[in-house]
Amino acid sequence: MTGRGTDSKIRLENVSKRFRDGTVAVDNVSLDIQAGELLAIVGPSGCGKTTTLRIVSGLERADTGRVYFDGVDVTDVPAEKRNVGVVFQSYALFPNMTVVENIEYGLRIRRVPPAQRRERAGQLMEMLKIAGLAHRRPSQLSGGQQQRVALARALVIEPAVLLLDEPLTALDAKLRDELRVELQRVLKRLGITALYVTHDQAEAMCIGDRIAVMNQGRMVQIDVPTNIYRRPATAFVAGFIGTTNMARGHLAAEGGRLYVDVGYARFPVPSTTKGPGEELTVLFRPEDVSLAAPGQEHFRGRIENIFFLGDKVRVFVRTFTGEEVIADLPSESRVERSTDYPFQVDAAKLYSWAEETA
Amino acid sequence: MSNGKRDTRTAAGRARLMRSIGYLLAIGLVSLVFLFPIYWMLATSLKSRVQTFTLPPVWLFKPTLEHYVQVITERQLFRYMLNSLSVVVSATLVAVLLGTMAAFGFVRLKFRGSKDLAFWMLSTKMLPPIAVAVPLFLMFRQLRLLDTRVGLIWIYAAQALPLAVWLMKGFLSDIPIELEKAAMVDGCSTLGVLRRIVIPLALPGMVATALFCFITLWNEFLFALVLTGTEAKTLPVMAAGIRTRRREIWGEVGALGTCIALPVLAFAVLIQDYLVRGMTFGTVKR
Repeated sequence: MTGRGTDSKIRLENVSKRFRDGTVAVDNVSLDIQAGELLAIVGPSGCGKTTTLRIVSGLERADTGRVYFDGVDVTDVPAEKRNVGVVFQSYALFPNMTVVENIEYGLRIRRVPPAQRRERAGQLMEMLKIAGLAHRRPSQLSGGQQQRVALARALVIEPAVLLLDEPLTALDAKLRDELRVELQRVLKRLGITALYVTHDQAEAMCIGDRIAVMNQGRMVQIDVPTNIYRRPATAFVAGFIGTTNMARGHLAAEGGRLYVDVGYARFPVPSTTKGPGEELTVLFRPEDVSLAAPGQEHFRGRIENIFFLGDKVRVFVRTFTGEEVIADLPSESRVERSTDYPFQVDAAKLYSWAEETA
Repeated sequence: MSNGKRDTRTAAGRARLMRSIGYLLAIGLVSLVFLFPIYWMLATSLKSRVQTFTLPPVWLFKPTLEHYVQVITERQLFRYMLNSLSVVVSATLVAVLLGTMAAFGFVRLKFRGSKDLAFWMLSTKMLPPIAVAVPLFLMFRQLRLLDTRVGLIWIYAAQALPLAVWLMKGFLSDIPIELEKAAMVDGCSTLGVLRRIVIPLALPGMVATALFCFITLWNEFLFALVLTGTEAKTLPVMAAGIRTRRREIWGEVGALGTCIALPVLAFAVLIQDYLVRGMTFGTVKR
């Protein structure tokens, strides 16, 4: 193992992985995770996020690039010697062992004395509220209980980094929401460095201190959740994280200000390096669209569909140019299907890319 | 409830009952076909010599153990049984242990030609044993392994190995790979994963495989006939040699047949819990 000066807890440097069938799973990925940070990697299926996690864990070997833990090169260190905890999507609890045996397993391999093993396992079981299940088999547990056992098993070895591979995917929606909050609480309480892989952007937004968006093996953007949401680096990020309205048009100058004419509306342009006549894509979120007072509208459109979502109403608006705009209106809004309404967009929330990377 | 509906229910219930009776009769008939030879062997072993040849056959008789005493004392049953047991148990253990490790390699370690190698192992079973009997005899003579239990153990282990590898491949591929990965990140080496996770989980499969190997080898005749003489002779070879031209000894044949069948039966009963789990391994989604 060779050292390398860095403040990061985990560092990936130009890591690439190509599978035997020629698929490039991870393409020149570099990444820094600070101590105690929870980084969520999010992306569509097959984007390489699980492969990245497996490379960090040592279960997969990178073709090129280096992996550092605390500045020490662990690229060639096998999984069993990296001191990482992994929570698998399927939990991977040993069916031939009880809950407590599962949790103690890593300590047993490390030859920790039984009394210490029991104490550490007991503490975690208390913290994760599974103390009463100690002598049950995994097959006798619910999905949520299995998830907690898997987490306890991964944490008990006090890993350098905790890797979570879509740990909540197998659970139903309500339980997922509950456990997501609890998981974040436990990880923050323990101050553990964690890499959390998910395809669920809402989960990533909730749980990650920072989010890394991956697509086709590449890291597209790494940033805090608000920036990922408000200032997406590419059209892919904008489309993948939340619902987005995107519109493309030509820039025009008027009264010393720049506007972009997207056909159905003229939007004031946020900061851009481009000049009049050039093309520009702007994006705005559904919650930035509202019903406009007469004369204040950016565009008019006919409401084609209305979905009541409890705290808001999502409407699908067809503009006169045939574009579809999605708007989230307050739940008390009195709007009707097949009726024209004026809409305005919060100009402060409009966003465009300096360079087109879509 | 209307009469029409009640009639329909009664008719459906009657049809269900008839179907159940039909199934039971069919099961009974098939069982009879398979169990009758075993009954006949057992009955013959317990009849006196005269009753054995009585026509029509005697169904009710006072059982005698005289044939069992004869095969134990005159035919030296225990000596040959010890030969058979030591050779077959050893070969089965070797085949199952090596087969499990080889199957683990085939299932988990993807290497160039792994499929061809696995098929080649299976293809050795396609060769008629008689084709290799003479070359093996010559090799054994050269190696001074003729008429030794060790020699027979090697041949039997080699004979059962392809069966063990292919059966264990099926069982091992049903164990989720995440379990092994989880054990590895917990600090287990590859061999540790095999020992602590894979083998305990594959135990029902290993026991089922052991039973199949045991039965195959227990009944093996050709190699035992060619490669043994007097010292390492096994039960099937001994049993084939007890008929004489001087007198019909069906009682002894029945007693010997029963004694040969007993260890297999005892083994199957002993491991039946594992066996059922082994037979259903991977049949349900976990």
